Amino acid sequence: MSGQVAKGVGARQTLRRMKALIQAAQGRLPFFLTLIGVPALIVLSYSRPLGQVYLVEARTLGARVTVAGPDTVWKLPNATLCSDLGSEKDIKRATTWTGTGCNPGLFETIELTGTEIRMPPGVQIQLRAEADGVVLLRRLPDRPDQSDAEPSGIRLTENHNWTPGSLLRIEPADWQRVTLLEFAGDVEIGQETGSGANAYVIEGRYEVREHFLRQFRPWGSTGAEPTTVVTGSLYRGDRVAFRKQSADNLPAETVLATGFIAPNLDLTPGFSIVASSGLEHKQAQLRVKSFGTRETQVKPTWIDRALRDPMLLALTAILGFAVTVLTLVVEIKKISFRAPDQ
Amino acid sequence: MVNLKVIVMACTLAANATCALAADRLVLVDLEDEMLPEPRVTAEAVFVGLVRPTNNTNDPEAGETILAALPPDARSADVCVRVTTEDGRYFGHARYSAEAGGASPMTLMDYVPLRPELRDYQAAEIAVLAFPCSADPALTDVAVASWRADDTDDLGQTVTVLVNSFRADEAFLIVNDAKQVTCVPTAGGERAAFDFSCDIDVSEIKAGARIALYRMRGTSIDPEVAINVVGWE
Repeated sequence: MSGQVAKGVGARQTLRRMKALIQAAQGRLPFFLTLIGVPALIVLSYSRPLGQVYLVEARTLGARVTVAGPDTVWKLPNATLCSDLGSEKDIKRATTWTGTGCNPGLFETIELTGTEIRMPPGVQIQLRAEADGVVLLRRLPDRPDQSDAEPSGIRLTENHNWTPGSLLRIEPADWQRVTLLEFAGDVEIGQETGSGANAYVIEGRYEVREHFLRQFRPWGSTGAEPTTVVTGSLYRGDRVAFRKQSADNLPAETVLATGFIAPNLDLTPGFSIVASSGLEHKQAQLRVKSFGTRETQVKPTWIDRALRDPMLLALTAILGFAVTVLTLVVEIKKISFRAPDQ
Repeated sequence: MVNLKVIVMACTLAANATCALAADRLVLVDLEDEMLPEPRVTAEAVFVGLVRPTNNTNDPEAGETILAALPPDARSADVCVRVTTEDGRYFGHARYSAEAGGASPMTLMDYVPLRPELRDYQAAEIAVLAFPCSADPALTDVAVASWRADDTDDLGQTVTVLVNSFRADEAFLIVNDAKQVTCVPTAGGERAAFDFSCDIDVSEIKAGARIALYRMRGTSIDPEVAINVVGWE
């Protein structure tokens, strides 16, 4: 009987303690709401971008461009068209040739002066810089699902077309005179590295710039510049491409990129390329494949955005300063009220 | 022992001209293989496979067998086989004893991979290279081989040469210094152990042939790399 009474007393005490805790918590409800709510709000605010741009700048020995959108026009000062002989190639003759320029066993040679090339969507061009400074523009087979090119080839002169398998060969001195070669389409910078690869990235960097959700304006687009949230470096042998997000087991779709190609100002072999995805492509990713590693998907997280948002950083700094000042004032008041009692 | 020439002559005199000896079955002596977790970008050698596909569909549950065109005089030493998948993840090397002898121009070899994942690959994704072990590592003499085949199968009329061009722009074969064959890029692209395939008609090589590979880069062409194909007729 006394045991049962003791148990009842213990249970009442536990209930009383729980009631006291609940009452205390209710008094601190705004505090807890703030403690959980503010971080949740920050995570949600930075979980997605309003707009996103991937920007790549690289020095490379090779790149591949597939034209999309409007026709791409390139102006070349002087070039040599090595026109593919197709089924009339003479491999045996080609192996005995020791000259420079277009191998007569493989190509027909046509000298071009001041050429303007107009490339319709679907045309694929591979650019490659040789060790001696010569730059080759090789026309690859067109993308079958996208090609608007004439079957006879891209017209270069009245009598000559640029057909798949043919090359435009540009001497080093002429390459240095090339002005910017602008493009819009699918671009792949560098080449997957392995034995025999000679079109790889030398060095470069990338950035991801974004507009945040807080910059949404229902009456129109924000006029603010996007903020850089991620930066990174490209290393020798990297291969870079713009892709859309996709499930792991599905091939990634390409993303339209715009940019330009230019000769290196320091006259070193290779060329410079700058490419960026459009601000409206929220699902774009940059895929970087380095030698010996898996392909990396560059994709900012909410932490990247939160740590780079100047407004959040400023608010945090101001709030921290205000709390510090407030604490200081309270302490000073405590000290001054205490002094007369002492 | 019956003279092989007498048998062939007797068969050709018969109403049906075709008369084939059952393939000699060789005994597996040693097999080593590996399966890498990631695709390998390049294989070690230029010639990765010399494959004659079958026209009939093979039972996927049947064991892996290799039918190679290696007549008795070409297999005085043991027979070696290399098996490589297109993505370069799987690589196997097997050795078979030719001690049992035999008179057939064809040999049948059971390939029992230690990595069962090899069964997940289609025949078109597998390159087989069969050769007398004495020809290794220079790999001068190579036999035409068929994967997942036996001597009852209907063999195709083309032989596919699978090569690793080491990132060439284009690749070509010249057969017996005469016939020029343009090779075609494989579906695996740059991430493949063999990135070009070249089709040759069987009639051009069944008596033996020299095939030379030429790789084009830019406007120049690499020196040739050549092998001899062992004839079986």
